[in-house]
Amino acid sequence: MPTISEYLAQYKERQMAKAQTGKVCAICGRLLQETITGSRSTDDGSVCSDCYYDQVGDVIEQHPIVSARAIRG
Amino acid sequence: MQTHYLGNDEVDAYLKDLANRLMQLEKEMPAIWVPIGPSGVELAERLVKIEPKLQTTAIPFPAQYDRDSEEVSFSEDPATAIKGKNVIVMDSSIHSGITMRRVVEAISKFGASKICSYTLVLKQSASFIPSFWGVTIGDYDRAYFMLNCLPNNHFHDALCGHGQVRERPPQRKDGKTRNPYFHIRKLSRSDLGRPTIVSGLDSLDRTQWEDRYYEMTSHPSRTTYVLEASNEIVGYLTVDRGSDFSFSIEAVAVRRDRQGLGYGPALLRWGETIARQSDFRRITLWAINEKVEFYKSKRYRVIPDVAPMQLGTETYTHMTKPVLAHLGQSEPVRAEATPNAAAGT
Repeated sequence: MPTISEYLAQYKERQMAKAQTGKVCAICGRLLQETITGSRSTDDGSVCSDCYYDQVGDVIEQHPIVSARAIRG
Repeated sequence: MQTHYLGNDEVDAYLKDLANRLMQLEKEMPAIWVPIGPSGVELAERLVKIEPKLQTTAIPFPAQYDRDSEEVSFSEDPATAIKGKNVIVMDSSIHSGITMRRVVEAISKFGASKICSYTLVLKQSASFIPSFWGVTIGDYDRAYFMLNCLPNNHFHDALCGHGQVRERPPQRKDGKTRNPYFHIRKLSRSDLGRPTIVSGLDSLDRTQWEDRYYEMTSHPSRTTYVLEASNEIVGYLTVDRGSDFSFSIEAVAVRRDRQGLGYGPALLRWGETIARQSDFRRITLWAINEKVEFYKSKRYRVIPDVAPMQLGTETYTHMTKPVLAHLGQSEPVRAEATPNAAAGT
């Protein structure tokens, strides 16, 4: 029977081989780590912050945000 | 917002203490280890390296929790092994506490005798407090640990980072590529008189830099940031740090001939970064009606009891989302008075 270290090492290898070490970004496939990549819940699935901002930022460019509050002295 | 750094020595020191506490349990020591996700597995590996005697007593059953399906899965069927045994569940960090809670519930259903839990980092408002934990951090704080390289804040979507190659998103139809050769800065007096950008939205494009600069000086809660590339202003962001817990994105625009280069994403990212760093709970913005469903798919929701805003032929809906997902589950949404919103439309 493998030791816990051996088991965990083998587990990681198996998961890497299956590309299922953890949740991956639904868009770019990068492994999601909350603190490092961000993990944003969307209707497409969980996405990394880079992909989230890519998507939303692109929409904003095409449809700029406005609040009609420009004030002139 | 603070960023906490835990070097490898500090992580090991916390795990050394945990190992000592587990060893002191003697016959009551947990026989089943349930590390959650890749970081939990890494913690378990480090723990065993620090205290090799734990090797002979522990049987691991790594677990994962899917937030979308709300399901807990184990690497192998643990039902037989867990029944009647003492278990320790471990994860590197607890944010909302939902993951840890779901895993503990799942293990309970398998008939575990006793369950204890550990996390290295615990967020202040977590709903699940484990048996042991290393450090408590504020809800808006970040903690970096077990890393060979630390992530820089960035706007450019780097393809490689932290040893993992990020697959390039599908080739953009317009063939444009992105690069980090730009910066963001506050609008300043020296920008007055410079040509405004043409984004394609008349109501925005009519506004001069003088208007936005006057806003900043007369309303300290409001700030305009410009994005500059090759000495040209190609985009801007106006934000309002409201008097309540809401942070408002008042305006975001990118010059029409410079769209598709990542400037919109960068401006939005900067806006959300400010919101988090300033401990705001919610972000609000006016979304053009034809994109309301898109924003909903990104977890924005319509603010009730706020009339849509009519600007020319376009109608906008006021929307909001929590700055941090784990703080947003039961947040009340306060309708904001908007003098310029058209009533009844």
